[in-house]
Amino acid sequence: MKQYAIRRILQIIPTIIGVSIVLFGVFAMAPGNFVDSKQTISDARKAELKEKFGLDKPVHERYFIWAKNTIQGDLGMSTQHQQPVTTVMNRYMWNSFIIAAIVLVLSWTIAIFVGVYSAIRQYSFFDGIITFLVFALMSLPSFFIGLLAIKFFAVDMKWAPVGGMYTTGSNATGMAKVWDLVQHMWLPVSVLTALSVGGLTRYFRTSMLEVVRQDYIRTARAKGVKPSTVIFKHALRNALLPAITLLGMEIPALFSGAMITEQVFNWPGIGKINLAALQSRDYFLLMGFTMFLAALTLVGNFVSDMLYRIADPRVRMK
Amino acid sequence: MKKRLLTVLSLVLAFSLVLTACGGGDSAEGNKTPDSGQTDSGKETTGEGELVTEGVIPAPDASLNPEAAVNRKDTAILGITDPSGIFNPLYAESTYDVYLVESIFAQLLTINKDGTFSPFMADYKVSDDNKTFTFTLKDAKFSDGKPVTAEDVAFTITALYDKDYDGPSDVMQYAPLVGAKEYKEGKATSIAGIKVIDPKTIEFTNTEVKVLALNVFGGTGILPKHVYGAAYKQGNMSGMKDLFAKPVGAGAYKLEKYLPGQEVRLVANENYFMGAPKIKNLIYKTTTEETRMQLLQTGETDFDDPSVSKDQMEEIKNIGFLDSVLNPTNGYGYIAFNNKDPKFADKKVRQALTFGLDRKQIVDTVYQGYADVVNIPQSKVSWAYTDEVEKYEFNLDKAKTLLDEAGWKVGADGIREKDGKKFKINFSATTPNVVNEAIIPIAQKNYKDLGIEFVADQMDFNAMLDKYNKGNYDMLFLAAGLTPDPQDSEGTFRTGGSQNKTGYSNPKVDELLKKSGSTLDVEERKGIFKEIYQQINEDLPMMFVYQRRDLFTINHRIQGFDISPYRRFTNDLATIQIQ
Amino acid sequence: MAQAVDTTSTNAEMPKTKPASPWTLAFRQLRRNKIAMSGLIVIIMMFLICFVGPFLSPYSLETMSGPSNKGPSASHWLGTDKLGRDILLRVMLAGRISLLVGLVAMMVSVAIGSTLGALAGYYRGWVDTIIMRFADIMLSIPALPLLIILGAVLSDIQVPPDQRIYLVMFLLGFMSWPGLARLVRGQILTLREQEFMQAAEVLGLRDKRKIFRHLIPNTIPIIIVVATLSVAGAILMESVLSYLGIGVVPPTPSWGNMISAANNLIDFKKRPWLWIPPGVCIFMTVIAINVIGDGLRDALDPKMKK
Repeated sequence: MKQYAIRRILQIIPTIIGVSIVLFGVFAMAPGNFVDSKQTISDARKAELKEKFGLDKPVHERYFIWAKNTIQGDLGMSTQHQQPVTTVMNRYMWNSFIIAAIVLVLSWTIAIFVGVYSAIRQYSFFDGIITFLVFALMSLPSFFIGLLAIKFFAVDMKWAPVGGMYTTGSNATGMAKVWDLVQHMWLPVSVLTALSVGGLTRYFRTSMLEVVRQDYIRTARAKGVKPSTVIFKHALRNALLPAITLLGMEIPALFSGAMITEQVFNWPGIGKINLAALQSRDYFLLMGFTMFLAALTLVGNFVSDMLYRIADPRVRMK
Repeated sequence: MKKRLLTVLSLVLAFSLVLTACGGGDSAEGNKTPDSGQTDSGKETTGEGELVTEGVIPAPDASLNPEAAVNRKDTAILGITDPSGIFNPLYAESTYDVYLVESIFAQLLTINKDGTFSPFMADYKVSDDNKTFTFTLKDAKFSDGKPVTAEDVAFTITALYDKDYDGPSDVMQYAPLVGAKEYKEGKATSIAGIKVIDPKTIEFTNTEVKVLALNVFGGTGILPKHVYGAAYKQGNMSGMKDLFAKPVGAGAYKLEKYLPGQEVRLVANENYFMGAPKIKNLIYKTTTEETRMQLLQTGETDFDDPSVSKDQMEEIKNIGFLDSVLNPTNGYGYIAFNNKDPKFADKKVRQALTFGLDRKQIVDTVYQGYADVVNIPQSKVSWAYTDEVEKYEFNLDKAKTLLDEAGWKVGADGIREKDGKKFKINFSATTPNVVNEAIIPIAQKNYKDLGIEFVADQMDFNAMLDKYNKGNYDMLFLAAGLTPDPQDSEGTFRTGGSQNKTGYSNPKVDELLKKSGSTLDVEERKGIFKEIYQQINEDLPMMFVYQRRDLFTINHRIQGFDISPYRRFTNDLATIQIQ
Repeated sequence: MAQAVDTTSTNAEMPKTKPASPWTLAFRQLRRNKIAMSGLIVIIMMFLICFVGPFLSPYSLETMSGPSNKGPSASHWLGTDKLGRDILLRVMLAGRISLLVGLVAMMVSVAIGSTLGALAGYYRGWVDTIIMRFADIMLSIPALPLLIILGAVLSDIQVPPDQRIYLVMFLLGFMSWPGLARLVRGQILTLREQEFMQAAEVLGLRDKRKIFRHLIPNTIPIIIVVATLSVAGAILMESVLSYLGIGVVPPTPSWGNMISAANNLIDFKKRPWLWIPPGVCIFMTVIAINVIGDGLRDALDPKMKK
């Protein structure tokens, strides 16, 4: 186990180097750059700027310069914000994280309960309604759902502000600030949870359906163990095994920001910043942010592999 | 002579602001443009006559104003797209950063409603040879109470010419100061063309006559040397970037707090030289196209610029307490032809393709009356505008005749061919873009009737721009921004101009553009530009499509904005008031 | 966790000497499942309508004759869009694209994902390392910039737009396999340690047989969930790819681009005929696939008494 863990950690290093090479190549090869897209400056000025930003050098040289600086902790300057990449990421990422983390906890909790209930009452009326809702939400663009929620809850009922994170111009601190945040957050959190709970429910329902038909569950039931104990102690534990893999893959999503939160609910997150960076070919910001997510992906998958082995001792790795 | 000259010069707008705003705005414009849709199915459009598409439309019922807005007695909240946090006149690039810069910093000159320049923080005069500009500062103070001096002006303008400067302005192109090159190369420690005569007087001398030079000197916000001085040494400007979020200027407001992605809080500058602003707190709040209207409706914002469409205008009317200001956008949409491609080399072909495309249908589908079909690259509100040109109204027969004349004969399969080559057009379309969504099906149908195969290729904005820059395209759609002075079109239509990506070349136009750039008499230039536009309208290096509208929607409780296509709302910040 | 499909005991009950694969058995079971069969019929009907329907329409793809943005009427049963095109015809034509994209992309993703996942989980060691690290790289690289480059390349070499749609199907399938592969691998890691696999070992079955007959059938439930979710995802993702020049080109409609054309609250409230038809079609497709999937899962489970 320990040996496997060490080997897996060592594997992360070449993988991340591979990812960085591919990413750098991809961004460099994407047509256009942030100098040529300025339409009002002369060709002489363009050449000047390209030299200043090092865009006149071949791609591999630029990669090594970037890699060297990155290892030394300097991710470069964002061309769009004219600030260090780390500063820009810091400004927006935590806003995205706070909402994504809450949604993750809520949607997993709800999905587990709904999934379990649908499974033990398979093909019941409740199961049917849930299935219907899950797929209906999936077939509609999420923007519609967000806008409808705003129209109803914010504009008509006035139960929530239209968008944003804090009241504009508010100087609240301490608990008042937290309360302000909660008031702004409950609507986007509810909508996002509703949108993400659907798919998860299907996973848990399926896993649970498998487990409740196993011999040991029947045995437990036959022995007269309380039904709720059977479900939540014996069955659920096994049903959650695939969830470990899923959870590992969800970690980067915690930091990547969601367009619907940011466009529709006006949340000051990083998703919009990243998209704008891609559209304006803000290379250093793109590299910094995607490499950060890539690292999280690798770590997430590593952690889930480890957890999987702890949760299921039968699994042996070569 | 001098008076007239001044009038002409003052027609110029701050290029670094408008041009860059438009340059960056092209992609944004595509995304921002309104969605389609007409009125309710029962209500048919009864002719364009009833549609008010320009001017101020007052709120029908101001009493509907929500409490949230009414209770905000000393604060105005203006909704804008998220600025990047570059609050510095030398570096601000996006329109939204520019709004902030114009609120916090003051320039030497200001822009009038008709696009002309007036003295603002300084009076100015121009020498007889049109190369030297002398500014005399009025009594003005920065927000920290220290006076604005000629040294501050010299410091600010000098920085634009530094080797290490990597902001959006291309000053060497528009204002080549005497000695600027030497300064840039490190051969001199100051720019010879900038002379501080006394604490209130400064003089700029260019190496040649440049119509757009006044923009640089008069249109750049002045930085206080005592604040920014430590951040800038010749050849090293990196310190400037640390001060982006801590701006100090002489503008109407000063920065109180910047919350990235959320809001920028400003408070009135008590030292403002035009008198302290009437509204104490001004907040720029980040909004998105999706919820601009909802925020205005609930009173969470007082001001915003939603996209224009019939649906939107109806919504505004229903909400009741919002004033709207509709202005012709200072720019135009066009479909570029690759003039270097043999099949577009003949102007008859370009004319045929223009006659043969129902531009009116495209424009009406997308803008529902809130845009006009145009035939020259100039705004209809400009003094240089002329109507005496070919209108290219949709006419398939005329198009067919022109194609026949150009030697493109209909082949056996119904597709036209010349010298054994089929007429096929690859259209490069950026996405998502509502204009392209209308152009593609309509052009495909119209051109099929002409016997031309029209194939569209979708791509992201930068990929399209890359093709455009490299001349690797047949036809594509883009929007261009304009400045008040028509001379800015030189780069687009002169042979080898820096923005001339169509490969257009006509010696007559080159000659005329040169003439208009060295003469400063408005009446004379009017005549020259009429000739230029008529020639361009005949040559059609690009197919001109539309000029649309800009919409500003303002809560009725805020009064005093006086916005024109050339004069931005930021000019009114000190005088607007809450009713 | 999932119990084995115990082929040896099933075979004993079968009169035939040649052992039937779990797949054959499952199909027999499936045919008796009325709900699953009705799902299948819905899919077949949708294919039929989309491929035959347009020939019966009085309009063609290029017709822009109708009034713009009008609700349903006798001449346009489902109304018209902003260019005056018939929505019914567009929904049917869009279905040809979207149904194919959704199903093919799902199958490609399932084929690659489950095979690679199974190989990694069964062989472990360096096979696992290579496949899973490759999956890690795939998961780490954002799709958008890659697609922008691909779109630019396709445009430069002038691939006819009507052929690009095939690429979309495979690309969408190819992009989404790593998630499924990780899930399948995880399950196989557990399954391969169970008793029935020891039995298979004792019987001396070949690897190929062990993987495809005994291990993968036991991961079907999770594969079905991923598959149904990915059909809807692929149909909606297609419009994003098309925007980057990799998929369909206007005026060719797809359900995805029809829905995204009506992307604001005003259209949502005032002109439901713009988004309800494609929305309902996507919904029906996904629900149908889901019930077929459920049926298949039940059919594959010998313990299911239903």
